[in-house]
Amino acid sequence: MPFLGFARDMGNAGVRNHVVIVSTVFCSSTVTRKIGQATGAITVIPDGGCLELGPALEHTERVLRGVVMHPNVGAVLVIGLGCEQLSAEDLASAAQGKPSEYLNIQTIGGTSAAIERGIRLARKMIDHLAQIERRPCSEDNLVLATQCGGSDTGSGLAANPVVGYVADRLIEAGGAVLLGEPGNLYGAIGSIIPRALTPKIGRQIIAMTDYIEAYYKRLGREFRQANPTPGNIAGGLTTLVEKSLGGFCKGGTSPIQGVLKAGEQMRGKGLWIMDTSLGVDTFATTDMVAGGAQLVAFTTGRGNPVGSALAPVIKITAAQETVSTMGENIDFDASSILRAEETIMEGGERLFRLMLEIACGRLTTAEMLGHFEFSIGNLDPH
Amino acid sequence: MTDRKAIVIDPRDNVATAIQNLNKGESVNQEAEAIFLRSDIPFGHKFALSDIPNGTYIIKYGSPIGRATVDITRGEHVHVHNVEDIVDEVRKGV
Repeated sequence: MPFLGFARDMGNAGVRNHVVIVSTVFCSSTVTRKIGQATGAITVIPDGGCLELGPALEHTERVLRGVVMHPNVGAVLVIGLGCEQLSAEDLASAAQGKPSEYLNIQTIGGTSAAIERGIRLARKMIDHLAQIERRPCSEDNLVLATQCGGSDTGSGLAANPVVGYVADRLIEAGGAVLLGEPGNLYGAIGSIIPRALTPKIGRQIIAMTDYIEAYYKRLGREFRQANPTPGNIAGGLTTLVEKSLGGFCKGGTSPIQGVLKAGEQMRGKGLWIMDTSLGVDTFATTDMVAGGAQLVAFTTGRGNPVGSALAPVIKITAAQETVSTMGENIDFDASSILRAEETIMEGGERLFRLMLEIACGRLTTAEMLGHFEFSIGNLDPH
Repeated sequence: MTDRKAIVIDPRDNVATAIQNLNKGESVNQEAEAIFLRSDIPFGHKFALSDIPNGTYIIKYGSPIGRATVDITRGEHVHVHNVEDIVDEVRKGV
């Protein structure tokens, strides 16, 4: 079934057609923000962007290039300072066929001149994109990122299994799905490894989970001591394996095609695992979207308002209480499954249809509420 | 499971999860058979769908999630008091 989207020169397709103003470095953030405020364009600002080394530098560069190349982005304006680690000109050239411009504050003559010129360039891009209509695109273009935040008992029972159903359904249709959160993989490793396409991919996944364990050790903690938490146990979770499987089931049942670094570009269809920045939700969403995901399925129990600068984030909960207390932040109510009014398959079909409507332009609650978060998580780059 | 009281995620599972607070003595229908609950099962907690002998796996999501540390009777609460984690075994096995 096709969706109405925006075909790109690179051969993929977007579900949005954003003008994005990108800072190369935090020093240019105010200019970027003011251009965004004046024009309504989306802004992307790294928390660092200078004097980063090794893996942190590579991560920032991967994510910012991913933003510029992203299929949901129709035009890009890069705002640099002029002496930072990434060149604005170089970043703008990654746009590959899309309208892109750059300016450097040092060259253009300060803040006011940069804002003025930036607003003019952004308005031209907005006018250009307003003339482009959605056209039928094959759903095999779609890349769905999956993520949890503020999980509860219903997450593992209904919300995550429903996302797993959608993941299988999209992969069957030729699309791709990203699963992050290495912490969730840790205890589910016994179910994950048999699904790795090759032994090498299996070893990479084991290495990712070993890394999480080592990271906790370095901080003087044991990963498994903290998991399941006393709250998890009170909620009915018995073991770390059970908790991990509850998160892992978001990825459905397809074979695992490969492992990606945080923010790395997708290399194919089917189910992929990304070593997202310690799984922290906003960082992980940013990483997976930078990797090419045009849509995010985000399950939450207690409620989480966070969106993404570039991609619609679909909020899914099975907690009836959250639907009544934070309903304006929820797109999909899976509590019907907990009331046995709907099976996981029926709920999954309903979510799949919603996802396609959103791909065609229906706004998510996060988009309507102005949630366009972006954060490159360099807590522990590796 | 069509009963409104509990959910079984995978047909291979030997536990169901309560989707409301259930009381000892209540019966829950599972595939036309009544399961008599031998303990209170709070929302989100699990009970055994069949007898689970000491040393055998607890299955949820179609996968082992732990090992019974005593003989668990059908309808009994399955939680940290009668289950041990198998995370080490799972990680050594791969």
